[in-house]
This record gives sequence, C-alpha cells and structure tokens, in this order.
Amino acid sequence: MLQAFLNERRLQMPRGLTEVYDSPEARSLHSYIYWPNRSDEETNSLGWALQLLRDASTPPPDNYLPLLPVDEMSIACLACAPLGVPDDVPSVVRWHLANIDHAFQDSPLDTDVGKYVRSVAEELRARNAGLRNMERIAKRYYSDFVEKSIRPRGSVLRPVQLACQNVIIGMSALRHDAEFDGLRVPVYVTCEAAHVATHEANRGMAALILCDAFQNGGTMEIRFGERGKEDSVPPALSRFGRAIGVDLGMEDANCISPREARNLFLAVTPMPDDLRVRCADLIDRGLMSPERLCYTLMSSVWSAIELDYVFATSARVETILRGGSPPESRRHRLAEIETCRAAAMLGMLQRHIDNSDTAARSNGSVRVFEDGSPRVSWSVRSDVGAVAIAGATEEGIPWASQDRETHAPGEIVPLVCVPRGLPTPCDHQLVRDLQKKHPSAVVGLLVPADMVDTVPEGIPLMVCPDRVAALDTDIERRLAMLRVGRL
Amino acid sequence: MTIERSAFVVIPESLTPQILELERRAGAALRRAQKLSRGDRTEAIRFESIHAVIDQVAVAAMANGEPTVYSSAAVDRVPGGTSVLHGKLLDRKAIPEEIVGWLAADRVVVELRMPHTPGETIVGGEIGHGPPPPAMRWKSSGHDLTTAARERFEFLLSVALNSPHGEDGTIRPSDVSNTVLTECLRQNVEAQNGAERVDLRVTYRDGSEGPRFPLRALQMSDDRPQKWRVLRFALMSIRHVDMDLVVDGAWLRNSKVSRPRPAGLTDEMVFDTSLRQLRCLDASVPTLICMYQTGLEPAIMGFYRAVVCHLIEHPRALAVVPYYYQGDRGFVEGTTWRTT
Repeated sequence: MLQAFLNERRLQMPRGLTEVYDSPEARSLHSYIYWPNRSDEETNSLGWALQLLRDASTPPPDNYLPLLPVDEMSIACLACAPLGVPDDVPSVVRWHLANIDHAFQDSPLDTDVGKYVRSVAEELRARNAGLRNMERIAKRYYSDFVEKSIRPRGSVLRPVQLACQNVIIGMSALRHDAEFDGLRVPVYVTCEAAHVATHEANRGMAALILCDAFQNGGTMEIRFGERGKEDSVPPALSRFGRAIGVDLGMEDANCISPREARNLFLAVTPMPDDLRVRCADLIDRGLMSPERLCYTLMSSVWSAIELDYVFATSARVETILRGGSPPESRRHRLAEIETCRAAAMLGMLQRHIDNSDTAARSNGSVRVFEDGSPRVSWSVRSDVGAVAIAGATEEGIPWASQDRETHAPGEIVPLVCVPRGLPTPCDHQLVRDLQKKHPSAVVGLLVPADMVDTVPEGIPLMVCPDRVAALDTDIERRLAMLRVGRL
Repeated sequence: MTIERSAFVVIPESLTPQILELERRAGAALRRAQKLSRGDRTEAIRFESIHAVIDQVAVAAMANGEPTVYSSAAVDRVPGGTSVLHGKLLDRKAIPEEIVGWLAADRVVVELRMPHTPGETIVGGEIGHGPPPPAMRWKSSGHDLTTAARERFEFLLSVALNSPHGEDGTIRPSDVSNTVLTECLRQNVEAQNGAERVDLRVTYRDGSEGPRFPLRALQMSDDRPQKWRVLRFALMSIRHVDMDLVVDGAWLRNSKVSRPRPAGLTDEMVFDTSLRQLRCLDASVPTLICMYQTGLEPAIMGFYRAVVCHLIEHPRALAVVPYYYQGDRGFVEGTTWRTT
C-alpha cells in the first residue's frame, strides 16, 4: 500500500520511515499508527487515513502521507519529496480535516518523523501516571490552601491547568526548589485539541512555567520529575522546542538550562515582528534583560501594542521599564507619562476593536462570542508617533466622530491613529497631513475624554472614554508593578 | 523615532491666579512627598494629578492661540519643582529670548515637555553590549531545603566576596530565609586575618540596591554578655502580637516598613531608623538587644547593617542576640552579634 501510494504520486520513500514502522515505539502506538499493510476498512490503516484526507474540507497536497491522528479532527502527515529531488529528513505537519482558517493549517509538529513517533509514544505512556499524580497534588493543594484561603509561597507545589473553551489542554505542577535554586516541575501533561492551534498548549504551559520561574527568583533552571527520581524534559515540550527551533535538554537531559530558558522565553512570548525587532535592539544595547521583557509582556503590565508604541517612539524606555522618573523631575516625568498615556489609549483601542461583538451581527444561528473576536494587526510609525491598524471593520472602530459613510458595513478599513494625551497644534496638523495622504483610511487623533475641547473643529477625533486623570491612575499602577518587579 | 521638545506656553492673564494656586498646591504636595517615608507615593501622586491639570490648561491655552515657543532646550531647575515659570528665571542657558521677555513682563509660562516631535532620537545603551549572561546552574550538596538555601546564599556570598568589584560582587538577599540571612551575615562580618574589610553592594530582586554592607569588618565573639542591660524587641510590630508579653517594644513599625516600594528603599529606611535608634542608646551602658525576628529581607539587612556600623563606632557597647521564629517550636536563639 505504501509503495503503491509513493509510486502513484512519484514520491520518494521518506528517509527513516521504514525504521519508524519497525520500531518498538510504533508498535506501542499500534492502534494509532496508520499502518500501510492493513485493510482499508480498519481505522488504523493507511487507506482509511487517505480517505479521511480526501474527504477533508481542504484536502492536503498529494505528497502528504498520513502517519497518525493528532486528535479527532486532524492528522499528522509527512511531506514526502518527489522522485529526483534531494530528500532531506521530512518534517511532520498537522493537517486539519475541518474547515479552519488557512493560517492554522499545515503547522509543523516536529522536524523528524522518528523523533515525533518516539515522543508521542513516550508522552502517551506517561500520561496516565501524570494525570493520577495531578489529581493527588490538586486534592492536597485544595485542602491545604484553597479551603483555608491561604496564598501559597513559591516553594509550595502548586497545580496549574490550561483550558480553552472548557477543554483542558494542559496540566502541570510546579514549585521553586532551593536544591538547585530553580523551578521543579514534577508533572507536565499537555494535548492537542481540534479547536486549538498546534502546540498552543505547550506554548502556553511553557510561558506559564517560565513566568513562575522568573517571579520566584533563582537561576531560571527548570528540572522535571521529583527529586531523586527525575524525568527528562517532557517529550511534548521537546517536540515543541524542535518545531520552533529551540533546543531543550541539551546541557542536561533532565532540565531546561538558564540559557535554554532564555531562548524559550523569547520564543513563547507572542510578539509581532516589528516589536520583536525593537526588543532585539534594546536587548542588544543592554537596556533590558530578555526575561524581564518577556515577563512584562506576559504578565500584561504592558500589552504588545502598548510596549511596541513605547519602544518605537520614546528614548526613555529604560526609565519607563524601571517604573519612571521621580516626580520632582517633572520635565522627564511628563515626557514619559505622555508616551505612556498614548500607549495606554492605544491598548484600550485595540482591546475594544478585538473584543467588538461581531458575532451579534453575523447570520450564524449560534452566537459564539469568543470565536467571533477578530485580531487586528498594527504598525507603529515611529517617526511621527502614529499607528496604522489593519483588520478592523467599519463598525468595529470605536470612538470615532468623523463621518465615515464611504465604507460599507462589514468592510475592513485601514485605521491610522495618532494617540496623544495632550494634543498640540502640531498634532492637529499631523492628523490633517495623514488624512490627505491616506484618503481611504480612517484617520483619527485619539485623545482622552477631557481633551476634546482643545482640538479645533475639522480634526477627525477618536475620543477615549477615559479622562487624563483615569489614564494617569492606570499608568501609575503599571509603573508601580515595574518598580517592585524582578529586574 | 520621535524626539522630545519643550513647548513654552504663555498662560492668559485671566487664568494666571488659578495656575499660580495650582502651582502652590503642587509644590506643597511635592514638599510633603519629600517628608514621607521612602516609597510612599501618596503625595507624589497628588502632585502629579495637580500638575496634570496645569498641563491641560496650558494645552488649552496653546490651542486658543496663546503665544507659544517650541525649543529643544529646557529649564532644568524650576523653584518648587513644577514646570510653571514666573518671576525670575534661574536657568537662562539656551532658553529662547521670548520666554525671558514674557517673564520680565510678569506673565506666567508653562513648560510642556512633549515626546512626539518628528525626528531621530538617540536611543541609550551601547550597540553590541548585549544582555547580562544567563545565571550559572548550581546544585546544593545537602538534601533538605534549609541546608540547600543556606548553601546557595553562602555560595553567592563567597562569589561576591571573591570579586567584590565585579558584576557578581553583590549580596542578593531576596527570598533568603530570616535565619540563613542573619547567620550567614554574622559569619561573614567576622574579620579575617590578612583580609581587608569589604563593603559589598546589596541588590534585591527588583533591581533596587540598598546601602553597601560591611563584611570582614569586626572581631566578633559568640559569647552572650552577662549582666548587661537587656532590651527585648520584636523586629516589626503587629507581625506576632502574642509576643507582646515577652518584648519591651517593637523596633520597627510594620505600617511604615511593609509598603509596596523598591526593596532597596525599605532597606535604606530601616538602616537609617535603626542607626538613629541605636545611637539613642546610652553608649556608656552596654546593652544587650534580644531581637525577635520575622522575615523581611530588607528589614534584616537594614537592621544588621546598622548594628555593624554602630559596633564599628562603639565596640563593646552593644550586643544583639537574634531569635528566629520557628512555627510550633517558637523562637530559637541565634548567634550573638558582639565584638570581642
């Protein structure tokens, strides 16, 4: 069957595949592997899987060979090289059977078929024991801390759980361990779910673990299993590391070293490309540590768009990230706080657009609000302190006062926003210029609610519902968190 | 990237009294802020909210066409700490002449330092400097957590003592237990033959630094002095009220010490308070302080730094015996801090 599949499509036998089928790991996954030598009627046969892929909402390319199911609605496939083409070790990708956004289709699961099958076999073998362990830890934690309303110290074993739309996709337990001044993770269980992006459970869990390691102090070393009975880096996490190009467990198979943790932290922290470039520059200049930066983003002290704006437009990044200048340096403080006001209003605007209830206006019979959330992208124009926002619909843009009847309802319109806490005549002119330059875009001067009267008529406005004082209170809260957080 | 520029705005005469009143209130808040304990931002926030109103009025004046001058220069020292200029200008360097003229005509001018002027800003730092290297891995030899924590702190302290001027030459007290911190410091305060006194930096996890801590500075004795005046203190009030029957008082007020502020500031505040209180003790009457401790690292660092400094100034006038809270076991006596 396999040879027929390859011959029919003029494909090479993927390197290492025969050995994989013969391996004890594949035999331990007997009921999952799509065996080439089984009858097409059997659900673990290659024929059955090929039929599933043919019936998929979007069938995969012809050279995709199904290997084993990822979940009930997606399949791990090998991309086989055509005959005559140099054959690298083929990577393993995930193909969804349902109609999903193409951005999430064909995502890499692993870089090597042998390592993939081995890691899945190891993961499934350890899963039941891990779940039992989790249950025990959770019960104890509940009785010792939840019932008594006691906040645990970092050295207490704490269970954590990740869920997406009521589906649990990851569970773990962690505590700071003085033995090596790092984080110990005795249990790590994750899974792929049909409605969740590939490796998202691993990304989320890794982010959570790294944030905890950072918050608890220590070296950022992360060790797995119990003391005296350690485990290697969890196979699912290693697989995720390979898929994103971050090697884990290379210095010591049972741990993520501080150096590996730094690379992983940067990789799992979601950042748009522009922000990533700006962060790399600031890290290169020694203005901040990668761990501090990632933690600032992950703990939502500043959101990505807010931090992007601050990095792009202010020379006072270092002082802002340390909590700001003292009040007696009013001049410095005003420059910092004005940047922060603009960033905070932008963050609010982005959340408003992202959380606009598009489901309510859709024709679908079931209103699932979470699924209806669009995600806008942005680009900060660092030369003028303006932000171009893409992906917002006409009616999804809030707070705008200008007449925008030129756009049809539901139409995606570009938005150019100039956020200013204290708008000056120069900013008014900037907005006029941008409006002339981008006639098809919605251009707006984004100001606090109590600064509207200072803007002359004819300037397109976006009025943030917060007043200057409310923005400043929010900014003070964030800066206070930065002042006492780990550097 | 945008650059900063100051806008100097003339305030309309009709609004001058209000602006001057706001300036007076802002200045008063700032002066009160300087009297508060370190890290207490109550008055600083009040100052900023009053000044935000001044800024808003200035922006409105600018929008109404009041005379405005933009300049990359700025006034560095304004009396009162606000950005309101009136009367005599102390710092005339690089300030546009118009402003000097306005002030000479008794007008009130507000400086707004705006960060959004188009232009190329010089970003700080040094290209290629890179981030601090990741921490080195470390493993304790012991099996219990207390031993491991002690070993870790001793290890970091020995690294710091071996290279006091390097990047690792700092004491890192964050998350170190009360017992381990006090005992390790006590051990290393002891002068060593041939080794010079080392004043190490103290760095907390939030990046803040306390004053330097003198180590290898004193000839110490473990003996508890006899027949000295004994004073019993809880290191901090409120923490263990059941101790009130045992102690003569609390050394530090919890409400002043346990505030959300950079740990280095708390350390400095405790140090200043402790040194002042120790100096209040009559040096001619040797005093034994029994200190019942609870674990707040900056408080421990600040108090014992003050003890060391006091012992350097007045050897044999003071002894401190720490008592560590051990849960059900009550308080356990630690090593005495006194000079030979």
